[in-house]
Amino acid sequence: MSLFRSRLVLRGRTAAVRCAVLLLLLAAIPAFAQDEEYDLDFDIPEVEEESGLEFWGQAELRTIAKFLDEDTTAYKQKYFKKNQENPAYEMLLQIKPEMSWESGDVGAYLRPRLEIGYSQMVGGSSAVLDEPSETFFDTEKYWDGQLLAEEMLVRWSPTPSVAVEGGKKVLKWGKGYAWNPVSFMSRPKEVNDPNRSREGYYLLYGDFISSRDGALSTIALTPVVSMVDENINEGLAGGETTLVGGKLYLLAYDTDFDLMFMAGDKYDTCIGLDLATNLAENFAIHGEVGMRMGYEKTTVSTTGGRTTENMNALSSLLGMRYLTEGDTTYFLEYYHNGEGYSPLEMRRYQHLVEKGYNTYQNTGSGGLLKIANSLSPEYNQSSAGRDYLYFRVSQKEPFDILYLTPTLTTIVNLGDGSFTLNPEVAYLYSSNLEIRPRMTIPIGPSFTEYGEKVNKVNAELRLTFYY
Amino acid sequence: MKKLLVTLLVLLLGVTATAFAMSPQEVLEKVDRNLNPASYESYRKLINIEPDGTKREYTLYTIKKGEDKVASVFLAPSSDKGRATLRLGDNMWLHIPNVGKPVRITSLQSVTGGIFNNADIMRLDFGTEYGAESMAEVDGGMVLQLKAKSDSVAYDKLEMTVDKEHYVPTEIKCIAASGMLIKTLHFKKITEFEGGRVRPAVMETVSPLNPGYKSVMIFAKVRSRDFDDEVFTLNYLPRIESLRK
Repeated sequence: MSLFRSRLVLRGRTAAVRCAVLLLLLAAIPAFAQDEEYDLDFDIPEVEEESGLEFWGQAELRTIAKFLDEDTTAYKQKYFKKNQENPAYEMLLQIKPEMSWESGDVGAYLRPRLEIGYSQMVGGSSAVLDEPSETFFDTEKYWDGQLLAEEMLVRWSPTPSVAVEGGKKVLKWGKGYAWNPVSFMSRPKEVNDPNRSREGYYLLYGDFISSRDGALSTIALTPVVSMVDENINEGLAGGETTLVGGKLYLLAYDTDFDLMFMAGDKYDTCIGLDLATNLAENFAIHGEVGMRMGYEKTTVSTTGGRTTENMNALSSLLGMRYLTEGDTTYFLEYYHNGEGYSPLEMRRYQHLVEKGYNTYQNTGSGGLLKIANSLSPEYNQSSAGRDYLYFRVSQKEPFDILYLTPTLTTIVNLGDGSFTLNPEVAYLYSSNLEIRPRMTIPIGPSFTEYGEKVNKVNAELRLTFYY
Repeated sequence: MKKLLVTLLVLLLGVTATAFAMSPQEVLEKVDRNLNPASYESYRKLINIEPDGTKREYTLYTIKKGEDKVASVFLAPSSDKGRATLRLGDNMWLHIPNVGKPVRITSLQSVTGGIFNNADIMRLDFGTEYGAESMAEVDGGMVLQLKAKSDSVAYDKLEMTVDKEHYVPTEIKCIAASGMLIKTLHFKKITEFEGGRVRPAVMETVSPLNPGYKSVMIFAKVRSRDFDDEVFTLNYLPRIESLRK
């Protein structure tokens, strides 16, 4: 019996050893296969030789929950005689295909944008910023839609030194991330979402580049001509006119320098410069200074009296980016908005709204609110104040989770001390799907910029699918 | 027979003597030229492999001119398409289409995620950034000790094992100024490219800082091509992909 048992044990051990060997072999096969699996003739996205046509793009779905602060002046101003749901939900589907075509020295590029939105906000989605060519669902209460071309241009480039482009183009002047005081030919950024692409302007654009060895290694001249009339580039100038501008870029002593200007009738002449350089391998700085000459700034008193001042508005920006060994990025920008309102001017406007609202409640007269609403595009625009700080901390791939980047941003109005907190997480779930939950929380006492925002909290989930 | 042995011995000594007749810097320069022409274009596939075997792949088109000019553009996947990087010496920029203008980046950052950083993706010749301090013979090759020429280089020291037959690296250890090993690059699959260039087609990267993770770079269509200097400028960067056409 004991012999049988010991044979059984021996057989069992032998079987265990065989199993272990087999498992080791099985484990080794994938390792070996992995070593051999690299395809040296991998697929390279081919250029279609005959048509020269390429097509790609993205679709983005945003769902937004807005928790409104009904005590703020901005809420009272917007919804004083409307029945606004709280919280209000929004959904925005945005489809942006991109097409490029190239044949020899000529090429073309098109990036249309189709947006379909659902919004419980009275007055429509807060996400509509650009000027659509076509709108849909105009009679629908909650739905809206729009179609526009963000960019649409043709290019002629006979040599790498020369390129001429004509059509609708987004010019990206300036080195700042959250603000660009020298971006004279672009639509303003939304500081809570600076990366969001905007619609370009129709223009004729040249690019002449010269490169050489030495301390001054690159010189590039970029002249721009643009027209404004009631159908083209409306809002860029005060009426029908032709605008002329340009940018001179220099790379000298490892520093980027740009000098730029824009001028024309019915347009405030603008001049500016920017620079950017690396002070160390993990520390970069950038700055911008821009002046808008003859800018007419309108302010209002608490009783509704308007004052218009003609001034040369000098705006500036100074920023830095610092990367630690642990892949934490600290990003800081200070912005002085020469066209902006001082805390006192902002308070006067907010008191006007408050007074107008109370008057309407007590007497039914909306006169003061009407005055306030006429100045709303200026006073309620993004970064309407005078001095701001933008601070962002992001951590790349914490806890070894690849493709994950949590970010915390705060934007502080230095004049009144109010601020907004924007926590955000970006996760590239797969090669073609990004998930980005984010929140915007404005914080501040009464009669301050962020203390008087419509939203108490804005929570958003953004899904971007790339194709 | 004795004659044959003597001949073989002389030949062996000759080969060894040739290697050691070269200075460490000359060996490094030879390695650089064997890896890439002075000016070239190439395609690369980057594969990030996670501990559970999950992979993510990127395809890049890269051009280089002279000692200090490199530009790359992502061709795939579509989430990164058009994302372009430019390097002029120590200056590096990243251009993300649609959303912004080119911004200055650092060699330590990573435009893809994973173990590769920008310095790996936009690598200049080793001899441009490093000086060869010493050389020692090992079985089948030699080991070069390289020291960064400036603080702006991603790794302070490199320990490069060179294959004596083809004068290409087989392994590079990347070491921080503190002496810590940051990552090890393994070069594999010696392959003949266009123009008769024989070099490794695969570079695997592992890092003790990211145990279990591996990044692989596969090279294809490495060929000599000359470019105008103007191609390596911020203004041209958004158009870099048109060079393929």
